[in-house]
Amino acid sequence: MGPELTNIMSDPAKGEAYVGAFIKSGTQKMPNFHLNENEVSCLIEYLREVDKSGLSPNYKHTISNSGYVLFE
Amino acid sequence: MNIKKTINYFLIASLVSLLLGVGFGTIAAFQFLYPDVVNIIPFYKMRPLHVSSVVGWIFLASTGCIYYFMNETFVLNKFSVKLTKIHFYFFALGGTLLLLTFLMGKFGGREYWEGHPAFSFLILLTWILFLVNFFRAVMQVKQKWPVYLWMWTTGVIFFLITFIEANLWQVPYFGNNVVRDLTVQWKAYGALVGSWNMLVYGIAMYLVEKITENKETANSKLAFYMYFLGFFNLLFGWAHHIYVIPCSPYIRIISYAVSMTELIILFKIIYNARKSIKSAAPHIKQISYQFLASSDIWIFLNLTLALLISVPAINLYTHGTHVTVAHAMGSTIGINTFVLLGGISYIILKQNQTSLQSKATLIKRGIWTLNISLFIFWTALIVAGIRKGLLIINEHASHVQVMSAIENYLLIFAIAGIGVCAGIIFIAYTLIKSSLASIKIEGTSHS
Repeated sequence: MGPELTNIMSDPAKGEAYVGAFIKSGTQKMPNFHLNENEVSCLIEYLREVDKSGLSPNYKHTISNSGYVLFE
Repeated sequence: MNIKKTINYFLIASLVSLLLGVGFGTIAAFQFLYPDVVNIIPFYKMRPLHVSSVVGWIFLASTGCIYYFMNETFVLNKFSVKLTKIHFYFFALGGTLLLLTFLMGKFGGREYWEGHPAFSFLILLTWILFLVNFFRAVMQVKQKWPVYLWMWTTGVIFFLITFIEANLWQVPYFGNNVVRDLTVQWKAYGALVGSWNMLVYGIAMYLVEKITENKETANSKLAFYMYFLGFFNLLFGWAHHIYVIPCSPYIRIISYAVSMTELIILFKIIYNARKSIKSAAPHIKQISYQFLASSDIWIFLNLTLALLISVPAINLYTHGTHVTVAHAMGSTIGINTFVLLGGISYIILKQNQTSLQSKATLIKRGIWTLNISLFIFWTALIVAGIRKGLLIINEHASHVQVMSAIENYLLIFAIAGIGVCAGIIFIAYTLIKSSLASIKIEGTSHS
């Protein structure tokens, strides 16, 4: 129900600085968990790892007549 | 010594858990839109409190009903009273501690029960106690097992397996690999729900047999065919939960094919619709039957939705949107909750006919309030989800753009949630009062 974070690290408009700022300050809906520098950098590393796992949403797809979706 | 008192404790605790669950859920729905509502328990704590209380409701109610039904029909006083009591107190203790730690903000982000590993162990232990007690009793049933005994046995075993699977993330091989972790987690949670559905659908079959006084319903070839179809889906149908994860294509193809076998159930429901209405007519004044009749309508609606979102081309748009939430909540409230309320009202009526029958009008109002509110609630979620999917996939919209486009639908959903909450309060309050009266009568007759 929250924003899509899978490829946030490789998003040219966002990336590490943007993610770090969000985690440290929190937002109206996501609280500031008062994480220390090490915890923040661990989360950033985790998101970097998630980014390498694939694309979401994957716009590069073909829908066949059977209703099956082929992802590139 | 008999176990009726402990069974009533299961039923009362389940209804309290249900009340907590819908209370937390109603507040969370408003917090999702307006984060400042009930500041003291923010949304990120409210969500696990809501989910865990509702799952607690399903387990307490279904195990309480199974103890009663087995005792009533097959194995009079063959359950160990001591084990039943320990099962209840351990579960109640574990559940309360889990909710308290959630209140303190100590939990992970997984969908079910990601508290301290000690709580997972406690839940596992209570389930093993139930499993031992259940098998001690069920193995003594010498006659041909009706379909609901097979369903309960399947549910009891498969919950143990899928619960262990759902905790594999605690093993580094799974927990340290994002794709593997997500695949196992989403697979296990799909199968976990399938396993408790086996317990609930077994209860529905038992109630139909008892209310209609027709033993054929739970012994027919068709009943067993449907059971095997459900079991087959429990084993292989979960994979539509992981269409979007980069996994081997054969998993997607098999799961798509298996999911579509549920079309058979849908066709059967439509084919038998007129016959079902006709056969329901003589029983519709019975409170338990009214709950079952409501669940029938929700089975049809949710099965249609489930089939649609299992088609990969549709799933591409609906995965992770409010359509999935509509499917989960529609099934949990519309199917599981109505069946379990039917089971509890059946037990209370058996124990104390006058106490509940005199409140039939109040319960009927509760059922109508719940059905109408749930329909608005469910439809608003589906519309919000479809809008979100189209905006993201077709228009590459950002989260902020999506949220502003669906805000009004979510407001309708939250307001309808108050109606759902009110309907459940009407029903649960009446059932708790009657169950307490049954305990009192039981106490008086033993003293």
